[in-house]
Amino acid sequence: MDRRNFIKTGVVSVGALTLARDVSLFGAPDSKMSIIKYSSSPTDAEGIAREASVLTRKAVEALGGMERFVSKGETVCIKPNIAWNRKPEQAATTNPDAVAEVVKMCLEAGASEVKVLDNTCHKATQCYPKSGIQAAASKAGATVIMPTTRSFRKTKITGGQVIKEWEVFSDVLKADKLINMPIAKHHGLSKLTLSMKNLMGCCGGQRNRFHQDMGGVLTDLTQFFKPDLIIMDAIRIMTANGPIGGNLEDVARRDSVIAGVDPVAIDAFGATLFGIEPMEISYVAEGQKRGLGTSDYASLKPIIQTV
Amino acid sequence: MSTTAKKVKGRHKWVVWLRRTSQVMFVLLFCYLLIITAYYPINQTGGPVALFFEFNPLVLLSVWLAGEGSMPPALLLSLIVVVLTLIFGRWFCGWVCPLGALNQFFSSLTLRKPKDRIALGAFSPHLRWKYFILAGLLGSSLVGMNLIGWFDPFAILTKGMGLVIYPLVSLGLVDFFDWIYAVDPGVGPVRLTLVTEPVYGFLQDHFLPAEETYYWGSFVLGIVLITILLLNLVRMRFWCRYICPLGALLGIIGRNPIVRLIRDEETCTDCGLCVAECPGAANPDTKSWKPSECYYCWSCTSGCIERGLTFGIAPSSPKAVGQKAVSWIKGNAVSRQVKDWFQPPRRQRIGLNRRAVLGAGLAGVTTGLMAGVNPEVGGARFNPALIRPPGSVEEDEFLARCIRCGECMKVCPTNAIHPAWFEAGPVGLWTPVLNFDSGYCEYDCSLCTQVCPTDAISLLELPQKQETKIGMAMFDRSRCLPWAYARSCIVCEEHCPLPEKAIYFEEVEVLDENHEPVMLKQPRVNPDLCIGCGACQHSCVYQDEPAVRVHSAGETRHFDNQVFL
Repeated sequence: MDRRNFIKTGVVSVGALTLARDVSLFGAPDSKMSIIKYSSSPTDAEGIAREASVLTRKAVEALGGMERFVSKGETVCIKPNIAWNRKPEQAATTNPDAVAEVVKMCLEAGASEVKVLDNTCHKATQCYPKSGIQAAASKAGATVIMPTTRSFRKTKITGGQVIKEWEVFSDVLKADKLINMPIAKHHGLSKLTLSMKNLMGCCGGQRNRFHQDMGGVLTDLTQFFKPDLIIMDAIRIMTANGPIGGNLEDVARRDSVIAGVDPVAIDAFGATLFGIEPMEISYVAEGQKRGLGTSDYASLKPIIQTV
Repeated sequence: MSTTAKKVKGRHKWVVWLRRTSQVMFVLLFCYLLIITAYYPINQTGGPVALFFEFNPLVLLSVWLAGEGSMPPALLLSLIVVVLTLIFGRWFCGWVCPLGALNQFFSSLTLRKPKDRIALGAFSPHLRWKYFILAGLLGSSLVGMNLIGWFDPFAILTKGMGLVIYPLVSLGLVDFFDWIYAVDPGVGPVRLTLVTEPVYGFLQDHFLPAEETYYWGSFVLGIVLITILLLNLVRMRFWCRYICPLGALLGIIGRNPIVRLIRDEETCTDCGLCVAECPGAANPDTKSWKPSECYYCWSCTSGCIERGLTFGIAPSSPKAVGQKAVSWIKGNAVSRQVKDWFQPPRRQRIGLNRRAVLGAGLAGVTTGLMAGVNPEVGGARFNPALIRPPGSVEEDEFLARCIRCGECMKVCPTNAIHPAWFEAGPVGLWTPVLNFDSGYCEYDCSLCTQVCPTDAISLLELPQKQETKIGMAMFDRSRCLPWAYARSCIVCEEHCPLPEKAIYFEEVEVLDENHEPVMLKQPRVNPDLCIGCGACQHSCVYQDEPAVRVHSAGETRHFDNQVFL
C-alpha cells in the first residue's frame, strides 16, 4: 500500500464512518432536530407525494418516532399552513402528503383523535380543498376542522409581552398535543414565513395588527402555544412574492423536511435555506432573546440524513 | 239540481293538487338553484343557476330591446314558455312562477269569508296597472335603460331570498346550533349535541353558506319582498293581479289561448264561489272570462260545487253553443251535458286603450332618456366608488343589460358584490357594485361572469379575468401606518394575490414618535400590475376607513376612465 492509496482509503473510511452515523436507522430519542434530504428531486405528482411521505416519516423517526411526542389516547392538533387559495405546486401551503403522513403516524402512536386545522387568510372553504390537505388528511383518518363562528375563544395569552389577550382556536387549547407543520416560504414584511409565523393560524380576531411587531407577537404566540413538535416542509419553497405567490418560477426545490422541538433553531435553519442570515428574521432574534431556543441550530447537533 | 251533485264538492280536485305539487316543486327548485349559486371547490357553481331567468320572456324582450345586438343564446329558451302560453295562457303564473306560488300560499291565509271574497274578486280596471308598468319598462328598454329588475318577479325573489331570507335563516341556524353546542344540555352522557351536531354537520354540507353573508341595503330588499307577500291579504295574489310585468307580458301573449275555461250554463246557479276562489279576478263566473287574468290554477273548477266549470279545447265562437265541445278531462258529466257548455267569446277586452298604453310607454322612454343624462350613466364623469364586477361591459351598455337579478351578488364567494344604492345614479338602484370593506375579488374565481344571464357581465375565462382591471388601489398616506405613524404593517402587500405583487415597498428610515430612527417598509402601488381586486383594502388594519382604497380609475371596461399613458 503506497502513500496515495493509504490516504485514499483513509478518506473513504472516515467518510463511510461519518455517513454510517448519518444514515443510522435508529432514531435518537433525545435529539432535538433532524434534517432529512431526498436523494433525488422528482417532478411527477406521484414521485413528490412519495418523497413527502418518506421524508416526513424519516424526520420524525430520526427524533425517536412519534411515540416520543404522542402517547396513547391523546388528542392531537396538526396545524399546517392552509392560509391561501393556492395549489400545492405553488408552495404557498404545506405539502398535503406530508400532513397525511403525520396524521398516520399520530394514529399509529395511539392518538385518540387527530384534528387538522388552520384559520386561513383566504376563505377556508376554498383553501382547504385547493391545498389538497382536506382530502389527504381526512383520507389518512384525521378530523378536518374548518374555522367557524364557534372556533375561537378570547383567551389570556399568559406570558405575552405584546399581546395579553386574543381570540384563540379552542380546538388547539383543548388538544393534548400540538404539531406545527409550516411550509418555508417568502414573506414581504418578515422576509420569511417559517414555523413561528405559522402559529398565527391558531389565532382569530383582527390578526392584521400583528404586523406592527412581528417578532414580539410571534414570540408571544410560540411561548403560549408551545408546539410539541415542529415539522417543516421544505420540499418546495417559495422564494419571492410570498406568502401567496402564484408564480411557479418563484418555487424552488430543497427536497427536505426538518423536524424538531426548538422553534427558534428550526426557523434559523429555515432561513439558511433561502441564504438569509437567521438573526435577520425578527422572530428568530426575539425568540432567542426570550429564551425559546437557539438560533445556532448546529449546536443542537441535528441528525442530518439523505434518503 | 239534485242534492247528490251538491255533495260531490267540485270537480278536478286532483288537478288542483297537481298544480300545488308543481308550485311546490318549482319553489324548491328555485331555492335549490339559489343555494348552489355558490363557489364549489374549483371555480364553478353547483349547476345551471340562472335557469329561471333563461326561461323568462320578459328578460329576453327587454335585453333584446335595450341591448345592442348580442344576446346570450340561452335566453331563447324562454320562447318555449311563449309557445306554451299561446296554448295554455298564463299557466306559467299558476304552475311555475315561484313568487306566484308564494303569493298563492299567502293569499290562502286570508280570513275573509267567501261572500266578501266574491265582492273583492271581480274583474276591475285596476288590473290594467301591470300592463302600464310593462309598457313603461319596455319603453325605457327601447332607449337602452333596462329597469325590469325593479319589477321582474324572479329578480325580486332572487334578491329577497338570496340576499335577505337565506342569510337570515342561515345566521339563525348557526346561532342556534352554536348556542346548543355551548350550553350542551343533557343528562350524563346523553347530550342534546349528540343529535344537533350531526344535523348541523349535514346542514353545513348541504344548505348553509360557506360563511355568513351580509348585503348593503338588504333591509330594504326584505321590506319589498315582505310587502309583496302581505299585500296578498289585501287582494288575492295582489302582485300578480296588479303589478307583475311578466304576468302582463304573458297575459298579452296568451290573451287568446287554445285551452280555455268552459262553463256549463245549465248547472250554474250564479253562486259566485268560483269568483271567491279565483286569485286573478278573471271573471270565471261570467261570459266575459278574461284569459289574460287567468292563471289556469283550476281553483274555480274545484271550487264549483255544481261541477259546472272545466278547462278544455272548445269551439272558437260563442255562437257555437250546443255544438260538440271536447274536454280533455274525460268525465260523465262532460259528455252528458256537452250541448250546454258555454264558451266565452275568444277576444276579451282587458280594458286597455291605445292612448293609455302609449302614454305609459312614453313615460318609460322619458325615464330612460332622463337617466341617460346622469353624469355616471352618460360617461361625463366616473364615480370612483362604482366598481363593477370583472367582465362588466361599459356603463351605458351595462344598464341596458343588467336585470338586477342578484345572481352575481349571491354567487360571490367573498361577499364582495352588493346591490347598489346610489353609486350608479338613481337608476342604478340594485345593480351590482363591489364593496371591498366586506369582501374582495378572489383572484382564482370568475363566477360572477359565469352566472350573469344577460351578459351585462360578459363571460371571462380565469386567465382573462385575472388580467381584467376593475379599478386601481390608492393609498391614503395620512392613515397608512408606515406613512403616517412610523409603524410597520404592509398587510396589504401580504394579501396582494398577484403572482408578481402589485404592491411594492421602499425601505426607509424615519423618525418615530420618540424621535428615534426606525427602518420601515412603505407601500406603493404598481399601476401596471394592479387589477383593483381590493384584497389590500379588505385586509387593511383599519376597520372604519381603510388606508388603501380601490377606485374605478383605470378600469378595463372604460376607454375614457384611464389615468396613465
